[in-house]
Amino acid sequence: MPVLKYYGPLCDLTGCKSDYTAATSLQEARNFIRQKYGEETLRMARGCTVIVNDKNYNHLRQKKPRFKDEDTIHFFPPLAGG
Amino acid sequence: MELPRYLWIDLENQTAHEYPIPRDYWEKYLGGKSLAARLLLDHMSPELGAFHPENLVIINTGPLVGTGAPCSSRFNVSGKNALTGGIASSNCGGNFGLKLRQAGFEGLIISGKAESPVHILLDNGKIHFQPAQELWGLETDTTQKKLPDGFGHLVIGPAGENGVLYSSIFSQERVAARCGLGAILGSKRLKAISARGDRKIRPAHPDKFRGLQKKWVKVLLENPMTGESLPRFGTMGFIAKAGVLNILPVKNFSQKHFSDYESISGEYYAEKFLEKNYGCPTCPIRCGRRQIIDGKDRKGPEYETVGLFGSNLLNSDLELISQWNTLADRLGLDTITLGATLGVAMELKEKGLADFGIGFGDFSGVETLIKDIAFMRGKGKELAQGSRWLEEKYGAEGIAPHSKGMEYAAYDPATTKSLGLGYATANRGACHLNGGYMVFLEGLGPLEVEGSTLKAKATFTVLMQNLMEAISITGNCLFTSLALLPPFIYRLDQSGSLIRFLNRLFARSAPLIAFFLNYPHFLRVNLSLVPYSLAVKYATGLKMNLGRLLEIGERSFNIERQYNMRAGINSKGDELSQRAIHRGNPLHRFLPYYYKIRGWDDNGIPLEKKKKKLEV
Repeated sequence: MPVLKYYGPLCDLTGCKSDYTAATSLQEARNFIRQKYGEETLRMARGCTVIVNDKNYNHLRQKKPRFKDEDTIHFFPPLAGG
Repeated sequence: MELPRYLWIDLENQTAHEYPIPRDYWEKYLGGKSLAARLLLDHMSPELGAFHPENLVIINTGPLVGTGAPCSSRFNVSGKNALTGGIASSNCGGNFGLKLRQAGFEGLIISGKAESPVHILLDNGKIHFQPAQELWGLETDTTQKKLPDGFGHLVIGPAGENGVLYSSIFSQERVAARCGLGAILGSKRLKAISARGDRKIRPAHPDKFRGLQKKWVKVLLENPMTGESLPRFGTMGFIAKAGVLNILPVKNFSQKHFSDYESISGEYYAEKFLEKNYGCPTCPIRCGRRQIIDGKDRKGPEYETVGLFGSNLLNSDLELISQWNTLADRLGLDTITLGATLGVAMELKEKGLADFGIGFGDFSGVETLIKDIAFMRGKGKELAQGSRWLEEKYGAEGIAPHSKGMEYAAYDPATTKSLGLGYATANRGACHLNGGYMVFLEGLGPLEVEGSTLKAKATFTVLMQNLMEAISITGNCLFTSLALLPPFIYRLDQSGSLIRFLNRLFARSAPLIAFFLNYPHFLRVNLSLVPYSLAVKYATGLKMNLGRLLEIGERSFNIERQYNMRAGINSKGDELSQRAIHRGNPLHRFLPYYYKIRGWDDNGIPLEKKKKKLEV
């Protein structure tokens, strides 16, 4: 099962750092987040950079990437560096 | 507004006189590192060794310092770079910059070498030289506690006194860390400077300035980067994402991924250690973190320190990282070069070339070694020379993560390729900030250069370098640049078609950006999203717009380049370690584009046309 990982203020809304899900696409992963945590969490998740394993979702070659069981999908809200 | 007041201080004779800044210098260079580089080129021979008594150190401010503009308490220190032999500039928060201007001075030019340790006191326009024998040998925090209340202080620690090539300068708990300027002050036996005064810094257009100031604070507080992330997670907020994207340095920049990134992340720090956050004077962001270490309230580590002391050494113990950070701060060491040098030492042990009593996964000797470095004792004496020296001494070519002799920050140039170009071309050596902070477009922000051509990436690197230079010169904190993108961009669906479209548009804007880089006078605008030019205009009364300010940034970059060339650092210095090249940084394909966009020849030398245009 793919694992969804949450960072920064998104963890405040989910109350946890990760979830296992049967989702096989970003749309399904977001549906999972909405169903489990509600609209506000979904709004923040939409504003997150999504990284699949170590690749930005937007850079993946497939038009609508499918998640595999071993994939980790990271949700990063805006986080500053130094 | 009156011309900046600079004081020339002769340490040998313990005298001082005002040094008049010509009006055209002020208009062309403004202040900070730019004006300092111009003055160094005029008065300091680039051929002299780092610790030659005739070298100068310039400590100065920018036009926004003390005006009440947000995040503008910073000061700059420029001089000879102890690590590279070229130019040094290092920027610092804390309260010294503010107090220096209140004491009546925009800058200090320090020459000569004192016979014995000295402490300079600047009190309302007057200067006093005080013996500092009893301060010599004290750590940075203890030194500041011994100095008089009500002043802003700038101090060095034992590392600076002992000539460690990467020793730093402190104001409160903020650091002018890079380039070994602490050692340059130490060689002059200047332990500390204190300043205070009641001079009021009045903007040339007070009403307009106050209006802008209010709007600017609002922008900073409403932006998710500067209003939410930095106050909550500090600069460490980026650790986890950098870990996932393979940006963190791993095992002396030799490996791609650090699987334990979560245990050194900003989130973990906030959960386990964070007591409260704090900020420099005039800063609404308050990115500083505080924690309890050994029962005492201490400053927490920054992103760079965690990367270099953590993943770079295969160390996932955040408590240990914080302890080393505190120790390095107290001794007055730059944690970036220190972490990188420790990494090289560990790799030398692994290769069987040298044994400094530490290794990847074997940290029991690190604390003692850090102390030995600061006091130049035993094996620490060798590590005090930095990573390039170690690499050469032990014949381990290509493993030291440096450019021009100064070490990379905590972004692996094999992943952040444009930042690698920035490291290679930054005048003070491998610096992420002077290098243009391209990680903003390579993983940090919603806009990115992924998918752009090398030429486009080189164009963005030049733009960002000029912009970082310009912001620094004003006296403003570079973190305010994290608020340059409006909040609505962060609220967009980050995987949606609109953000993809914006990114495609952005990538294709490179030719337009190249045009404005060449002809900045066409940018006769002041944008509220980029408030620096407007703030300088209202503060100084100078004719200022975005184009002019970017041109000042470009001039600054070129004048520093000129100083380096005279010091013998030519295009061969525009280099990365062999390891970074082998691991995929296309530096040598980047450079021809970069030089051309900069208006330099194939050897990286500014063309006459460019020099004439910039009047340098």
